[in-house]
Amino acid sequence: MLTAFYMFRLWYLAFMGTSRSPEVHPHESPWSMRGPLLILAALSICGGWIWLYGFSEFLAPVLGARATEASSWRLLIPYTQYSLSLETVLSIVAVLVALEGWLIADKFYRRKPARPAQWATAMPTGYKLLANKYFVDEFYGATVVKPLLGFSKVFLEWVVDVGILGGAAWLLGGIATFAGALLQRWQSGNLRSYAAWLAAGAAAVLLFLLVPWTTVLAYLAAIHLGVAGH
Amino acid sequence: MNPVPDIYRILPEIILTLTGVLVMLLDASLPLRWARRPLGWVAAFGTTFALWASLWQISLPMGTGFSGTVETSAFTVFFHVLICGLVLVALLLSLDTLPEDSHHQGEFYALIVFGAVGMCLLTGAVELLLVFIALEISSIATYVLVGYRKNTARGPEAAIKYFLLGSFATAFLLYGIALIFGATGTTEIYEIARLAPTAPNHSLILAGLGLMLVGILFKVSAAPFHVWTPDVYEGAPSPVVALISTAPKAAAFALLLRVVYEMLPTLRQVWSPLLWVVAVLSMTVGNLAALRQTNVKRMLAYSSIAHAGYLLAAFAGLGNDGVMAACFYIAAYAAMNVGVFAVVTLASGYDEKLPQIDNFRGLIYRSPLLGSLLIFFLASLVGIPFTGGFFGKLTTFSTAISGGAIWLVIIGLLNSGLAAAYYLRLALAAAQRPSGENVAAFAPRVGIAVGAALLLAVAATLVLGIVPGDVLRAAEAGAHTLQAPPAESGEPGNAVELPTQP
Amino acid sequence: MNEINNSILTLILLLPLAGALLVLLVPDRAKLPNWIALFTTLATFGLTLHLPAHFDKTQTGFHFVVNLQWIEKPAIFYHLGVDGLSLWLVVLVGLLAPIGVVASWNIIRERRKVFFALFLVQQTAMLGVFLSLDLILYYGFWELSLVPMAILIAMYGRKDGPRAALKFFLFTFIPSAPLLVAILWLYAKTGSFDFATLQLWIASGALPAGALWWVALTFLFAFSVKVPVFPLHGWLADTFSEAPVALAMVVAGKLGLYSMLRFHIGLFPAQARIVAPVLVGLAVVGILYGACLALVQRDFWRLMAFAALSHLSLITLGIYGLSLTGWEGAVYQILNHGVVDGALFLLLGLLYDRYRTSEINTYGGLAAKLPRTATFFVFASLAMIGLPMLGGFVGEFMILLGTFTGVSKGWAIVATLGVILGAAYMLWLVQRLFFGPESKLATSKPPDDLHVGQLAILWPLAALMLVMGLAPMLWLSTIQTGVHPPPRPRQAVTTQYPVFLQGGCAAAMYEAPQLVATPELAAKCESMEEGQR
Repeated sequence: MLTAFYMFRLWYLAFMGTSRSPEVHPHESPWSMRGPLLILAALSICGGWIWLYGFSEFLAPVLGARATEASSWRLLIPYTQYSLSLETVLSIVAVLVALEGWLIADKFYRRKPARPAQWATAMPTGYKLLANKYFVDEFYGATVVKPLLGFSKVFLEWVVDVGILGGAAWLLGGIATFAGALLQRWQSGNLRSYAAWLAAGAAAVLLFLLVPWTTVLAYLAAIHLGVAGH
Repeated sequence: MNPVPDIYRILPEIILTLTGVLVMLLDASLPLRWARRPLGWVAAFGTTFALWASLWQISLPMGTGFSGTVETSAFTVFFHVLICGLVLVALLLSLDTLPEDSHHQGEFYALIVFGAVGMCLLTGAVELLLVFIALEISSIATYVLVGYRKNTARGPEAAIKYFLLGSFATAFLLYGIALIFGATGTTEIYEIARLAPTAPNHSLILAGLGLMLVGILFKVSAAPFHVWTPDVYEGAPSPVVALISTAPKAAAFALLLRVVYEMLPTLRQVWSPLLWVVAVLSMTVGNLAALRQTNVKRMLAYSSIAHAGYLLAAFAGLGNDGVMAACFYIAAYAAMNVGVFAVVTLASGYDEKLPQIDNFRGLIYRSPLLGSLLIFFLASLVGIPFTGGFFGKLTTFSTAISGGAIWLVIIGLLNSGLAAAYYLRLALAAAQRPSGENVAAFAPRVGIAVGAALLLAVAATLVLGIVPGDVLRAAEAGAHTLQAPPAESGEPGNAVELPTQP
Repeated sequence: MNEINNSILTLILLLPLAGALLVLLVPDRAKLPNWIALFTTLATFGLTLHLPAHFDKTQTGFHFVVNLQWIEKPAIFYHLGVDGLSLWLVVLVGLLAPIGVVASWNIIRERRKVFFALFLVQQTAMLGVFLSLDLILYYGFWELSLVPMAILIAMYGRKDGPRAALKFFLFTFIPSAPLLVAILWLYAKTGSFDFATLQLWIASGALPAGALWWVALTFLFAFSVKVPVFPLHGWLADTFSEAPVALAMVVAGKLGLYSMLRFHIGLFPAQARIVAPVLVGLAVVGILYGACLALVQRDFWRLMAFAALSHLSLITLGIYGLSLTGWEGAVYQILNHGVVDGALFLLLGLLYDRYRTSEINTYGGLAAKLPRTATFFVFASLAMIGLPMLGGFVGEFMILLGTFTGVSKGWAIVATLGVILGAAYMLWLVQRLFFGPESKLATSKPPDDLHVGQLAILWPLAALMLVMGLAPMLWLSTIQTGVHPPPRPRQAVTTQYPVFLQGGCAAAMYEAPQLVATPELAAKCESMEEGQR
C-alpha cells in the first residue's frame, strides 16, 4: 500500500498539477533513456507472469548443471512448491491494497494539495524524519561509505598497493641495479688492474683444479672431528 | 693411405688467404685517388667463395691432412660456414658504413679476411701448435681492426688494451700447451686424448688444462676473464665489433669444445664443475653490470658476456647433446648479435655521435625499418620464441637439465629474465615517440650492401627460430664427429640427477 | 569438409600472420592498413565460427586435431586441438579482434602499419595459446604474446609508455623463466612435451612427487601473474592506463585463466587440490581488494584495472573451487568478461580520444550530449555488474553457487559482498561520467556521438550480452563437454578411490575429469589400475 502511495505521489507531483519550475522546459526523454525504459516496462509486466512459464526450469541449466545440484537449488528457493490458488488469492489482495494506496495519494496530492503541508507543520519531527528518509543515507554515509572509501584510499591503496606491493617490486629492482652499480666499479678502465684480475682468475682456476678438494675437505673434517673428540 | 689431397682439407682457408693477398696488393697498386670501396666487394666475393668451398668439404670423407694437423668433418664444416657467413655480413656492413675518405679501406678488408683465415683454421686444427698459430693469426688481425679509428682517443686505447691483455691470455694458453706436451709427449689432440688417462703425471695435465682454459675463456669473454670486453667494444668501430663479438668467439668455442670434449673427455668431473662456476659467474656478472649501462655498445658488450655464460651451460650436457646444443647456440647467438650490431652501426653512425640509449629514442618513428629490426634482434637476444635466441636457450638448457644441472638452468633462466630488463630498455626507447630534439636527428639510410647484411642476419635468426631442424641436424652431425663419449644416460624417464656443483 | 576440419586450426593461426605481412607490404595511405586489418580479423572471426558449427558435442576430447613433427630433437610437435574448454575462448579472441581494430580506427594516427602488423601478430599469439597442445609450442605463443603488447604500449602510451611496458613485460616474463625450467624438467624425465602424454606420466605417479610439487607450483606462479591474482597484480593498473584500448581489452584474464584450467589443474590435479584453498583465499581477497580500490580511483583506466582484478579474482575463485559448476561458470564468465570489457573499453577509448583525459571528476553530464554512448555504457555496465538477464549474471551466479555448495558458505558470502561493491563502483562511475551537472568538459567540444562503424560493433555486442544472459545453454552445452567427466571411468574411479591425494590415475580422473581425459587416457588409466591390482 505504501509503495503504491509514494509511487502515485511521485507521479502526481512530477507530471500532474501545476508546474513548479517554470524556467525549465520539460522535453521528451532521448532514446538512451526511452529504450531501457521500454525494456524495463515490458519486463515489469512480464515479470509478474513469468513464473507461470516455468522460469525455474528455464534457469536450471545456469543454476545447476548437475542433477545433484539442481536439488540443492530447490532447497534455496522453495517457492515453486506453492499451490497456484494461494498465489492467486495473494495477488488479488495485493492489487486491492495497492489500489487503496493509489486512492490515498490521489486524495492528498490531486484533490487536496494543501493537506500534506498542514500535516507537516503539525508534526515537524516526524515529517523531518521522513523527509530526510529517516537519515538512513546519512547513517550509511557515516558508518559504511565514508569509512570504506577512507580505508580503501589510505590503507589499501597507499599502504598496501603503493607501499608494500609497489615497494617490494621496487626493492627487487633496486637490489639488481645496486649490484650492477657495484660491478661497474670493477670496470676501472685501468689496464694494470685488468691484468691483475686476469692473473687472479687464472690463479683461482688453477687452485680449483689442482687442489684435491675432496681430500682436503675430508682432512679438514677429520681434524674438526678430532678436536671435537678431545 | 689418404686419398684426399691435403690441399682440399684447407680449401676455404686457401681461398680466403688468396683473397686477402689480392685485396692487399690491389690496395697498394691502385692509384691513390681511386675509391677503395670495390675492394670490399672483392673481399665479399672471396668470402662467399670460401663459404661455398666449406659447404663442398662436406662431401669429403672425414679425416685429417698435413700429417694429422688439420681435420675436415661435419664439425669443422659447421663452424667454417658459420664463420664465413659472419665475415661476409661484417664485410657487407663495413662496405656501406666506412667513410668514403678513409685511406686504409683496403687494409681494413684485407685484415678482416686474414682474421677469417685464422678463425677457420682454429676450428679445423687438431694439433695444439697449429691451434696456437691459428689463434694468433685471428687475434693479430682483430687487434689492428679494433684500433682502426686512429683519430679518436678511444680507438687506440682499446686496441692497446686488447693487444696487451690478449697476449697475456695467449701466453697462458701456450704455457698450458707446453705443460700438456710435457705430460704426454705429443701435441696432437687425438694422441693426447688416448694418452692422457694413463699419463703418469696427472697434475701436469690438470695444470695444462687449467691454463689452456684461461686462454680460451678470455677469448670468449667469460667471467672472470671478461674485463677487457666493454672497453674494447666501446672503442672499436661498430662493424668490427659486429665481427669480433661473434666470429672469433665462435672459433674459440669450437676450440673449447675440442679441448674438453675431444681432448680430455675423461676429466669431465674436473672441467664440468669449473665451467659450471664460470657459466654462472658470466651470466650473472654480465647481466647485472648491463642493467645500468647507458651506452649501447657497452651494454651489448655485457650482454655478450652473459651469452657466453648461457653457452657454457651447454657444457653441463652429456656427450653429443652438449656439443650439439653448444654448436646451435653459437650459431643463434652469432646471427642475432651480428644483426643487432649492424643496426647499431647504422643508427649511431660510424663515428658514433649518438652512442647512448637516449639517442635511440623514437628510432621506429624516424626509421620504421631499422627500429623494427632493432626490436626484432633484441627480442631474439631476450629469447622470445620463434627467434633463434629462443631455440638456442631451449636446446642449451634442455641439455643441461638432462645432464642434471638443474640449478644452473634455474639461475640461467632467471638471468635471462633479468636480462630482458636492459634489452627492453633499449627496445622500448626505440619504440617510444621521439621527443623534441630527437625528431630532428638523422634518419639513417640503408644501402644495398647493408641491406643484404641485414637480410642475411634476419633470415638466419628467423630460420633458427622457426625451422631449426636442419641446423640442429647439422650440429648433431658435427657433435658426432667430435668422438665424444656416448651419453651416460640418455633414456627418457630415468635420467639421474647428478650434483654438478663441487 | 574433412580437409577443412583438418586444416582449420592452422588456417586460423596463420591468417592473422598473413594479414600482418600484407599490412607491412602495402603503403600507409588511405587507411589501407586499417582496412586490411579489419578484413583479416573479420575473416579470422569467420573461421573461428567454423569450430562451434562443426563441433561434435557427443565426443569428448580434442577436436580438429593437427599433430605434426616440428623438430626431431628435442621432440617438439606442431600439435593443435580444441575441446569444450578452449572452443569458445578461440571464438572470443576472434570476436575481440575486429572490435580492437574498430576501437583503434581513428585513435591510431601514426605508424599505422607497425600498429596493425603487431596487433595481428598478437592475435596469432593468443590464438596459439588456446590451440596448442604441445608444451613448447604453447610456451612459444605465451611468450610471443608479450612482445607486441610491450612494444605497442611503449609506442602509443599516454604518459609514460615505456615504463608501463617494461613493468608489464618483466612482471610476466620473469615468472615464465621458472615455467620453462619446469617444462624442460618434465621433458628430461619423460622425453615428451605432449600434453596428453605428460598427463599420463604425471598421473601414473612415476615422477618424483617432491619435484613434481615444485613443477606444479612454478606453473601456477607464472599463470597467477598473468591473470593476475592478488597480490601479483602490480603491472595491471599501469598497463591499463597506458595500453592502446585494442590491447588493453585483451591483456588480462583469458590467457592466464585458461592456462590455469588446462595446464595447472589439467596436468597436476593432485597438486592443484593441495594449493586450491590458498588460491580460493587469495581470490576472495582479490575480489574485495579490487572492488575497494576501484571505488577510490580517480582515473577511469585505473578503475577498470581494479575492476578487472576483482572480476578475474571471481573467476579464479570459480576455478579453484574445483567444482564442475564453478569451472563451467568460470569459462562462461571469461567469455562474458571479454565481451563486456571489449564494449566498455571501446567506449572509454572514444571518450578519452575526444576529451584527452581519463580524470573521472572532470567528466559529468555527458548523457545529454552523447546519448548513444551513454546508453551503451550503461548497458555494458549493467552486464558487468551481473544484472539478471544479462551475461554477467549467469557466470557470476554459477561461480558463487559452485563456491557456496562446493567450497564454503563463508567464502561465497564474502565473495558476494565483492560483487555488490562491484555494482557500487560501476554505477558510481556511470553517474560521474554521464549524469550530474554538465561539466566544462562536456560543453568544450561539439557533441559527436557514435558513428555507424562503432554502432555496427556495439549493437551486436549488446545483443550478445542479452543472449548470453537469456540463453546460456547455447554456450554451456559445449563448455560442458570440456569439463564434465566421461560417464563410465569416473563412476568407476569415484567408487573405488575416494581419496585422491595419493596421486595416480585415480586422482587425475577424479579431480580433473575431463580437463584431462581423452577416452584413450581413460582406457589407459583403467588398464594401468588393473595392472596394479
